[in-house]
Amino acid sequence: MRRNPLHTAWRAAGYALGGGLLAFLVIPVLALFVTGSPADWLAGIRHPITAPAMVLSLTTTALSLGVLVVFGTPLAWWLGRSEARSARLVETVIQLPIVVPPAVAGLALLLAFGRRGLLGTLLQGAGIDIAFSTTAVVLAQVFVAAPFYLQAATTAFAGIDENLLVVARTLGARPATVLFRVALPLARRGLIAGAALAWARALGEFGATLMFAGNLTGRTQTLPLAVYTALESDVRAAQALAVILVVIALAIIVFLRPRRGRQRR
Amino acid sequence: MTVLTANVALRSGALDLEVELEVDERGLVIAGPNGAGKTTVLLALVGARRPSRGRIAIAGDVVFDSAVGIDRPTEERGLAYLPQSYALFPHLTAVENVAFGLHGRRADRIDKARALLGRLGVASVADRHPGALSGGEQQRVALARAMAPAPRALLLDEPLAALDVESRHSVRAFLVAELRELRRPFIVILHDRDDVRAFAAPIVVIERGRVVQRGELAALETSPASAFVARLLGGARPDGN
Repeated sequence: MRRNPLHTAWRAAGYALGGGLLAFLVIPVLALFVTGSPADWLAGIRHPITAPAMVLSLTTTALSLGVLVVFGTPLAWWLGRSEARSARLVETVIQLPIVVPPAVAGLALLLAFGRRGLLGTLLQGAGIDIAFSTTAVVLAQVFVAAPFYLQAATTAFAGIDENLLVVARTLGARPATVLFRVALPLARRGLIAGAALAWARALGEFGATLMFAGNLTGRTQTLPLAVYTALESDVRAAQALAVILVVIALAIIVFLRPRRGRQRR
Repeated sequence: MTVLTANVALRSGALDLEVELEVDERGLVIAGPNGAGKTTVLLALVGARRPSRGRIAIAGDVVFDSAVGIDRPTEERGLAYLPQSYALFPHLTAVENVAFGLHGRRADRIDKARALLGRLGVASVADRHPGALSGGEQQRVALARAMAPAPRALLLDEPLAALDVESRHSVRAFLVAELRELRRPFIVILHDRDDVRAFAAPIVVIERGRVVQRGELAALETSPASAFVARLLGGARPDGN
């Protein structure tokens, strides 16, 4: 017979510690829901700040996700399939936005694309003014969300057996056909998971947006910025917006949870 | 008679490969220890590895020649490749796998693929995904897929290695018969004495990237050029797996 290696007292302590952290994580989210009534939320949703922020968040995150998928998928393919040392270096570099504080990212974007930034004069010469515009919102979102999509897509592409790609070519498929009929279908799950995570990160973007795009209703005030602004005047509106964001976040977690069932392998 | 001739030199990691092959419809067995470069030869032939120098021709049609800068892409070489793992597309059904290399309307391709699966005795698994097939079934489906676009030659990497002892004998007999009937040059990598005998084709033995012996089975048995050849044809599996 094997004896339980953990003494009862230690086990109790373990439960208490782990349970404490779990409670700490759950209670604030619960508080968002239980401290308001549906009537409050309805009032919050009708608040004038809500609709423009919602529309702006949905359009900008859709755009930033589109940009990320179009530009990021080829990069992820290279990162996942190349054995070059430069690929490993780039893989490290693209992690930067995760560890850089969003406010710093915002400042960096401003110093790069702002009116007096590194590329600012060049852009101005071309008649492009990015800072404090909706474009800046999208760029801030792309910047902070990129690692989430790139990482998932890279892993998905790296997991494809090279033989599948070689065999597809021997069967007469051109590289583009191999990509669309073999590689992308096989990487689909990873790509979708990465896109969902990146979208969630873009939706929650606050610090970089505030620094680089500002907080202008209808132009740069996304849902998280609206929560911040509403808090000063109407807590109910802030809470209603927060509930919307949490419900979206929960939906994404449920969507991404590891699924059982049939594995095609 | 169709003949595949190849002369390839390439370096890849620790491997320094330089081999010359000639294959006709009798086929060719490649044997050699692990890491000798056998799979790399096949990958070079299909165009998945680029030789630093060499020439590859199928029935006189040059698909690679470093001297004059010819390097036709994989999809234009007309070579079928069957990796050891079979590499069936896991997201497609058996019949869709076979139809992958066919042209025309989808319904026609599926019909042709189904007929081919029937001819190879696996019509019953046509609508299943590869994960739900036995090793022997997977091999037949992979062979059907390789044969579907009427390749000019077939390259098979240890086609029997993934099979259990029971299915091995029947699949081997089937494979030998099919390849004979196809009347196309084929190269098959083998590492088992019984398998080598069953194919009864000329043999090339590669060790550390170089051909150490080539000839008919009987000649190799009479005077093996290396300890590996002696062990390969003498009984026990030479590489111990």
